[in-house]
Amino acid sequence: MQGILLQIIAAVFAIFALSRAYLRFKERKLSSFAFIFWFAVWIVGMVLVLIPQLATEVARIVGIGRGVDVVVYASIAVLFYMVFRIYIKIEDTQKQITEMARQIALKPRPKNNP
Amino acid sequence: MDSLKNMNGLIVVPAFNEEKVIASVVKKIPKKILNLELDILVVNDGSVDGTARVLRQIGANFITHPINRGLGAALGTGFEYARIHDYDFLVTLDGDGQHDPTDLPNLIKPIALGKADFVVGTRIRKKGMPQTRKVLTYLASLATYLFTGVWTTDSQSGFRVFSRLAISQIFVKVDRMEVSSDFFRQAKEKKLRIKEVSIKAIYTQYSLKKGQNVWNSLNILAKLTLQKLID
Repeated sequence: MQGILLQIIAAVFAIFALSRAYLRFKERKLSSFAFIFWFAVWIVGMVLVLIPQLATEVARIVGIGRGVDVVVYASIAVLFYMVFRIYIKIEDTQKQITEMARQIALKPRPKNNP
Repeated sequence: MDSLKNMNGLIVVPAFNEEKVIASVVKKIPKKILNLELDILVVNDGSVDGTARVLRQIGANFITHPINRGLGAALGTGFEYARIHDYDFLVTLDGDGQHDPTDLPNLIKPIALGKADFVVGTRIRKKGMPQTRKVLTYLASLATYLFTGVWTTDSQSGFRVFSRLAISQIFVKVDRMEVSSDFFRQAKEKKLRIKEVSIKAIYTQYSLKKGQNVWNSLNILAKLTLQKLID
C-alpha cells in the first residue's frame, strides 16, 4: 500500500513538473529542444514509477542488478550532463558580461568628465 | 637606435581597489624610454574604493569597468584599447606596485629591436622573493608547462611586453588570474617569439596580500583543466 502511495505522489509531481515545463514553453522561455528534453525526462520518470517492472526489464537487458539501479545510474548521467551544460552556459554568460563591461569602458567620453 | 624613434607604447596597469598605491605606481612610470613614447592606461576594474578618485586627482589616463571582471578581463580591455589606438607595443604592469619601472628598458628592448613578440619579466632569478612564493611560482610554471607546452621560470609574472604582432593576434578570453598562463598558450599557438628578461620584484606586505596564494593557484589549475576539457 505504501508503495502505491509513493507511486501516486511521484506521478503527481511528474505531472506538475510537466505542466511547468509546458507553461515555460508557452511563454517562450524554453526552447522547443529544451521542452522536448524535459518532456521526455518527466514522461520516462512517470512511466518508470508507475510500471517499475519496466525498469527491471531494462536492467536485465543491460546486465545491471536491479531496476532501481538503472534509474539511479541514468539519473546521475543526466545530472552530470546538465551540470556540464549549465557550466558552459555560465561561462558564456560571464564572457558576455565582460564584453559588455569592456564596451562600456572603451566608449569614448568627454575629456573632463571621466 | 634610430629605427626605434617612431614607436608608440602603451603601458596597461590593471587596478582593482588600489587607492593606496595606484598614484605612486602611475607617477613612477616614465613618459619616455629609449626614445620611445609611452602612454599610460589604467584599467580601473570596477574598484569600489577610491581608485577612480585618486586617478582623477593625479590626472591619469584611465578607463573603468562598471563592475569587477577580473585581471584577465582588465588586460583584455587594455589590448582592445591598444588595437583601437594603434600602438606599436603594449606593456602590462601590476597596479599593486610590485614592479620596478626601471626594468622597463630591458623589457622593451627585445621588442623595439624586433627580436621578440612577447617578453616576460621573470622574478625568480633575483633575490627578494619569499620562499613560499618561490615554490608556488615553480608549481605554477610546471602547470603552465603541462597545459601550454611552454616552459617559463615565472609563468605568473604580470610584467610583460607585447609587440604589435602580438597585440593584433592575442585576444584575451579568460577573465581572471588564469590569463597569465593563457598568454603563453596563445603565444605558442600563434608562433610568437617568447623571451624572458629577469626583473626586480618589490615585495611589500601590501603586494603579497594582493597577489596569488595557494588557494588561488588551485583555482587557476581547476580553470585551466576545465578549459582544456572544453576546447
